[in-house]
Amino acid sequence: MNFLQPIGNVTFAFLATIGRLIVFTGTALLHSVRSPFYPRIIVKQMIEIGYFSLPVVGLTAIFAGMVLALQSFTGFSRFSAESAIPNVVVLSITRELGPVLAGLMVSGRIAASIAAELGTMRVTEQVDALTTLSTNPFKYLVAPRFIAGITMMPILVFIADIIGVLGGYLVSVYQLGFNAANYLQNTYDFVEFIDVFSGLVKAAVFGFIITLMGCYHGYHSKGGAQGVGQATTNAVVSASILILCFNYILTGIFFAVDG
Amino acid sequence: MAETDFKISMRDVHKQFGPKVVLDGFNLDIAKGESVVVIGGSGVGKSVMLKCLLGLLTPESGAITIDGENIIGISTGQRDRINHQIGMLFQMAALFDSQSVWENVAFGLMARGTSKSDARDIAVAKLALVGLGSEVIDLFPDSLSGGMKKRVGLARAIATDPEILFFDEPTTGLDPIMGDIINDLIVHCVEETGATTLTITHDMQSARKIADKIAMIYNGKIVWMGPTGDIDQSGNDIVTQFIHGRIVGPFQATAQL
Ligand SMILES: Nc1ncnc2c1ncn2[C@@H]1O[C@H](COP(=O)(O)OP(=O)(O)OP(=O)(O)O)[C@@H](O)[C@H]1O
Ligand SMILES: [Mg+2]
Repeated sequence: MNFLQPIGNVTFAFLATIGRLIVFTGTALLHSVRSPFYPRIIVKQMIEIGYFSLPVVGLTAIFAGMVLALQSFTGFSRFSAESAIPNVVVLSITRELGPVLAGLMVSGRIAASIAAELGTMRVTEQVDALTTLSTNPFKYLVAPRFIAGITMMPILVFIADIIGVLGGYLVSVYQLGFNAANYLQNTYDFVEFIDVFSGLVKAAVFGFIITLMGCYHGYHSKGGAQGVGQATTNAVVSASILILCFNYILTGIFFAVDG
Repeated sequence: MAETDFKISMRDVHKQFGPKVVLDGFNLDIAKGESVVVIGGSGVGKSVMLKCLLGLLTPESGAITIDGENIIGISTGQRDRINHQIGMLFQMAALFDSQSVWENVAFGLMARGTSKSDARDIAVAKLALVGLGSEVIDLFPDSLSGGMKKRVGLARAIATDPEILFFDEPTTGLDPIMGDIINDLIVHCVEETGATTLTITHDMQSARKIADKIAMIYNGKIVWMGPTGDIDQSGNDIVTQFIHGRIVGPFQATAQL
């Protein structure tokens, strides 16, 4: 029965990781809502996550909107359905592409940098030093990043939505010959509150996932520079996969297909 | 003395990492106001011992008390209260590299609600005690030398005038003169403020100067502990070999691997 042993070991290791992650999440959330708070650090993290992600998220969004208009046009012109392009663009951007692309880009930037920073602090004993200086590392390091991630991602995605729609508009009007006023009117008439709202809720969840993965892998990293590198990779990969996974789940919840 | 009379007491403490046993029935008692120096080979578990006292590592078994109070398995709130009276110098200094020198030193003070300007004044005074002048206070740790980092770490440890001080190799990496300044500083902390100190060192000259008692750790246990004056007549082969730095003897450097 020896072949069962590795399977058992892997299962136990997996369950142990899940358990650790749940405890970590719970502790972090608890400390995020209990004083003392560190407003200066929260603001610093908000600037880091929100403001400095703007260029990369904006660029991603504008190209996504542009290519979306272009592709829809090649497809839809076969059915003479070009007029649906504004609708397709705004729906895809607000519901899916805005949050998902922003989530993936920000996870590359932020999950990596959080994991690297906390991981370095862990292996150089700075996390231990915090504890000895009457400062809870969860409150001081993890909670501010959580709060910043959950609040800044929706704002980022809202901006990405606008820029993405703008990308589609530019291609449609200047390349595909749409009437500018009609395009905007169509977009405005078609988009519903739930489209944008669901995307922003997704963004908040993704912000949570990104900062959680960054903090978790950084906090538990060990073994010097190599361990920190490993933690950084794990943070980005796990955040990206979780984002895609939760995107599907959330889409299912928001837009449940009535059987 | 009863167990509860000691400021710090470790009884039959066991700590291992996986199969590697580091502390194996470790006993150590330190009276209030006493300065104890722990010596021992590299990798025998001296830093692990301090981390157990700080609650950063949890031993598998055994009892640890500070001021007669059990500290194993207590809540973070209780731990915070105990850490309030402890100052710690980490072996690698563990300075916060996102903060300037004075902010590092003032960190514990500000965490306890001291105003920024008061905390800065205290930090400058403590930095002066470790021989660092005003030219370094606004630098960041990455522009300091190893010895300077150590001294900033030392200033951070004593900034709040704690009742208990742990020093992990305070003079390693310092020149002999600066080392002696630090020795004097530690003696001062014990004599003037009545602090209880536990210092780890490889530096026998420093140990002789700052210790009331010296303890030798070997194979996860304290194998000898006695007043500093007795160290040369310890009658313990391991101690004798260690303080003379001899290669041949019961102490096997390779046995630690
Ligand atoms: N977090 C950890 N995980 C696994 N092993 C550890 C950990 N911390 C310490 N050890 C091991 O415990 C042993 C004792 O380490 P410790 O740092 O206490 O040595 P030390 O006595 O302080 O040595 P030195 O004088 O070189 O600083 C070492 O073998 C080390 O590998
Ligand atoms: Mg050590």
